[in-house]
Amino acid sequence: MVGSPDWHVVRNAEEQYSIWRAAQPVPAGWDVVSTFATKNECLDHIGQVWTDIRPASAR
Amino acid sequence: MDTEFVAAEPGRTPADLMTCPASSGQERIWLTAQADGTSAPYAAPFGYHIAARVTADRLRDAMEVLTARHDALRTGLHWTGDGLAQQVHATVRPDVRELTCANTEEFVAALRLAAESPFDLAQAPLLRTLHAEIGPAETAIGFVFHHAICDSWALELFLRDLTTVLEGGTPQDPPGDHVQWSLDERQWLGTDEAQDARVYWKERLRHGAAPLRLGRYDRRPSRRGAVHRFSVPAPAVQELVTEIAASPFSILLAAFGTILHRYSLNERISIGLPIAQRDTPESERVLGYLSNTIVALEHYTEETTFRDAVNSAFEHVAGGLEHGRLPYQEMVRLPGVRQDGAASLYQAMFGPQNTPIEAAPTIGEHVWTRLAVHNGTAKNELTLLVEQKPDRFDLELEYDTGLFDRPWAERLATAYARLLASAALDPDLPVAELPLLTEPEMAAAFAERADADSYPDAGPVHIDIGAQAGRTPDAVAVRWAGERMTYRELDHRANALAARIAGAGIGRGSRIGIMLDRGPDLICSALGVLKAGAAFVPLDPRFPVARVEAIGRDAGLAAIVADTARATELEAVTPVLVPDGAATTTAPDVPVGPDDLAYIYYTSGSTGVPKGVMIDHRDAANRLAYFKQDYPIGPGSAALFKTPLAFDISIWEIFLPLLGGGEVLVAEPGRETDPEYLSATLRAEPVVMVHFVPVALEAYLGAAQAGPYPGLRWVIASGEAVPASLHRRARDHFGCAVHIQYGQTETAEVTVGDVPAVDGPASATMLGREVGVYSMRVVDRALQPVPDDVPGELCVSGPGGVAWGYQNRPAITAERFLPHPGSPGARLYRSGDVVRRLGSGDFEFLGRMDHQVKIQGCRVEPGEIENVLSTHPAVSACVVMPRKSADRGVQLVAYVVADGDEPSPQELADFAGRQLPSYMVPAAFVLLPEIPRTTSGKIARESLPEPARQAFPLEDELEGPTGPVETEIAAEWSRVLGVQDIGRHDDFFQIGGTSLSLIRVLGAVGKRFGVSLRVSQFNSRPTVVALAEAVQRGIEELVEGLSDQEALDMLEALRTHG
Repeated sequence: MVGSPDWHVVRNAEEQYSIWRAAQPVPAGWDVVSTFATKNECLDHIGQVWTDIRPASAR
Repeated sequence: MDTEFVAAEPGRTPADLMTCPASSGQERIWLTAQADGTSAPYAAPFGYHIAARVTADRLRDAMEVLTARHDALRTGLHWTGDGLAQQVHATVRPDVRELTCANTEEFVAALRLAAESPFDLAQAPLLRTLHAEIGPAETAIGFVFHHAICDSWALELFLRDLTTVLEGGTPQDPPGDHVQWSLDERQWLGTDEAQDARVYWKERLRHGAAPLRLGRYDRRPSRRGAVHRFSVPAPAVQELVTEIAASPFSILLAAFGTILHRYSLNERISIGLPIAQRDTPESERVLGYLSNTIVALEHYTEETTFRDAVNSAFEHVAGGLEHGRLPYQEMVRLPGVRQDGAASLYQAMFGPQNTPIEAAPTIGEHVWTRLAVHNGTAKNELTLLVEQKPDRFDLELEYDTGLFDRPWAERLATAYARLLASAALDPDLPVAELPLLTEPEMAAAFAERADADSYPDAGPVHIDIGAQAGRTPDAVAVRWAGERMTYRELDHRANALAARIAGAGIGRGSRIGIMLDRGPDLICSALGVLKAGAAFVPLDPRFPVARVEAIGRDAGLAAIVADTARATELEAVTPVLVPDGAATTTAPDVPVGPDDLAYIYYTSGSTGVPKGVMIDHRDAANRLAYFKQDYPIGPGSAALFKTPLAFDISIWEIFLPLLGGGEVLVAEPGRETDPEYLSATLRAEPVVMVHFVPVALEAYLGAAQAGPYPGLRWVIASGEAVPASLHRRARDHFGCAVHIQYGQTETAEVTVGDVPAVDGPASATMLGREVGVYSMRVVDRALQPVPDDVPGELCVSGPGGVAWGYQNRPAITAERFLPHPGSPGARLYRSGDVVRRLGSGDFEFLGRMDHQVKIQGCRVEPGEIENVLSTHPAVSACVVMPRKSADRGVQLVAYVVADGDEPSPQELADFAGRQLPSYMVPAAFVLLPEIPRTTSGKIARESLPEPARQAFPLEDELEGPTGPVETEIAAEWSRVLGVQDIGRHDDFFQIGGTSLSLIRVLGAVGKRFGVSLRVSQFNSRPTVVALAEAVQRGIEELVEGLSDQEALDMLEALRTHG
């Protein structure tokens, strides 16, 4: 993507994963767990590590 | 005064008149006045305040001198029946009006009034002069120039001469000769240079211009207008000037094009640019309208940066100026340039302000101060005029008040200024990502709605229903086929199923399929599954086993509740629980809280593989609590349960009445679309609330008898886009509240429209406003909120109102559920729907992100076309979708269910063509007995067939005129155009007609039938059929005003002539 080539994989306290453009400030309550060059790499990574879609408080 | 028009040579008649063909500019302004039915937009008022006494006599004397000096002030435009002539009179009395005004405000009001009263373009002078002494040493002077004799250069010339004469001097240079200039212009058209210009413009405009379609785009421009003035600070523009090495003009033009692109989502944006045609010292001294309009046609792609847009704007301006002598009327006629019948090549214009660029006029030491006055008209849908000041750029946005209102214009101006500021920060950002809001504004847009609801007391639904059962055990909970079940029975049977589930070792957090026909067992089972601490997964009884197997595997179903008939084949998939009617007083003790999963809804994804949306008890409870608050259903009242369980509307059809002590009335399986059954049920039973998907509502309204629904309180329509027209009809029919709901399985109902929206186009799909726990914002593709009116993707949030995600699909869950910048740790659901928020706070649905259809560079929303086709009397339902065709790229195909007689494709195309731009008219019309549906009642798009040959309108075959009126019109076309075999659907402009020749035809045809025809009557393509209809209307209007005998006489006269 022009303008912001980097993407973060982010995670919240409920251990839910998402993605975020590295160029923009990460919203409160989310931690950056890794960074990739493209959105798709982030999503592939999430596909590997997020094995339980349930939020942590529901497990 | 009637004068014969004589050829191209100027002829000075012995008396007092010189006649010569009009210039192209005069012709353009005159044609526009004909097309609009008014000359008012081109009457330009200018007012000045002078801190000195200037008497009316002194002004009048000066005007006498100027009128004698400049031909333009003695010129009128005269239609000869064959062409337009300028007539220059030897003497004309200046029109000087002496007013009595107490102050400048009164004077400005009078000046505005003078500008509003139309000019008769045939009558010289086309200049009104106003004078008022507003104090002992204070004078106000005003002018209303008709543009046919004046442009901004000419105004400056005029004021210079006027002040010279007022000061007692004599203008030095001899005035330029407008007649000679016009003749030179005509001659130029035959030169090689003109030929080069034609080649240039044909290439530049070869893709055609795209209509803008903003605001109330369903209406014709009113030509009434207003102005919003604003400024942008010079530094932002200066930074861009340095950074891109471009002129401020190119930058401000590019910013205008870009903002129109962001507002319309059109790939092509065309903007008219007025340019002066004064390239010789002689022409610089001509008082007259020596301007042309050229067109900057910008192409935007996803990658276009602001730098690209500026560079391209510069090329347009530079190339345009080089080839700018080709009159606009000639450009329009170039083959392939005009897309849409009589429509102009642009609806927006950009240029310098019509004010003298040099120093303000003075008399002696007294400076003339300009008074701001606008004539209350709009020449274009939008016109942005710029004036450079030392520290800023002053901008004047003129907008058509029939299409836009003042708040809209103010918001556009704000967005424009913001776009420039954002571009200055990073000109290499794609324009689609340029921020249009400030950071605090974006933060505010992300915040949750202050007036959002919360429902802290709502518990898991089965617990709250259990409590209701404890309060009213003997009340009726469910009714079906003449039978009934009390709350006690319902509760006890659910308990028994829960116990069976627990007994089978299936515990909290498990998933259980429910595959039952609509009936009491289904309701008991859903509650029983929840009581066992499990989540239910709706499976439609019509699903093939393979699909059940796929869902069963994905969801990890521990069991399926199904009836005996299906048990055998399902047992191969999972254990099957067949409802047995058993009842127990207590349920197993399984603690269930808001964090537990309540159900998983499988929806078909865009890839065709179903995705399981996981909804927990908190989300389900918040959804139902919202319904309970806004749609209370108590004892003795019922909601009709008629939606399949696999469509999540059924959640509230089942649970909402049970939360308030009301009844679930089960619609007889198989009869939920039978209008007779439904109408009888809704009228005779205590049903207060019923749901329809829009197509079902349409079908019901078409079939149901009129008459009251005594008990009905709320009709809900959702599931697909609901056009405003359907909303209105439903309100009229039911006589109760009709609510349009909109939402997603991933959230819930997020908006409700309770009244048909009034501020959107009739063909628009309005969604209403946010409800319940939800807040919505519209974002660009970089997830930045955009201002009202700007389309973008809808993002939804709501505490306790968003799904967990998709079962077994972490990647797509992470992509759709994003970190919420307005609420720490929370998530936003990215809906994939393109919407815009209007100034009223209502949202308008524009389509799906992944179904964005672009035809000829214009964004097309199939729903809008469907809304229009649905209003055809012979259409009962229709779906429009884009299809790729081998040779013609993407084309629109309409699927139509006829109501009675089947309309022909040609008829439907004509019908659509009268209300929509031509690129939105479907290429083919396929008649179907019914629209194919999915099990949840939505349209099964993949089942719609390819159009067969007969689905295309017969555009290739010539269909001759029918009836005496059409025959007469076609004959007149042949005479004027020299074309034989005119078809009744031929577009006048596509077979060689011009705006001038159309006026000729209208004159002749109108005369022939004794009616008055104006270009302004033609909304769409001028065809033989359209002209004949206009004649018909004209005759009907005439006949209405006649006595019976007069009418008979007239008809008889027409018959004998025809």
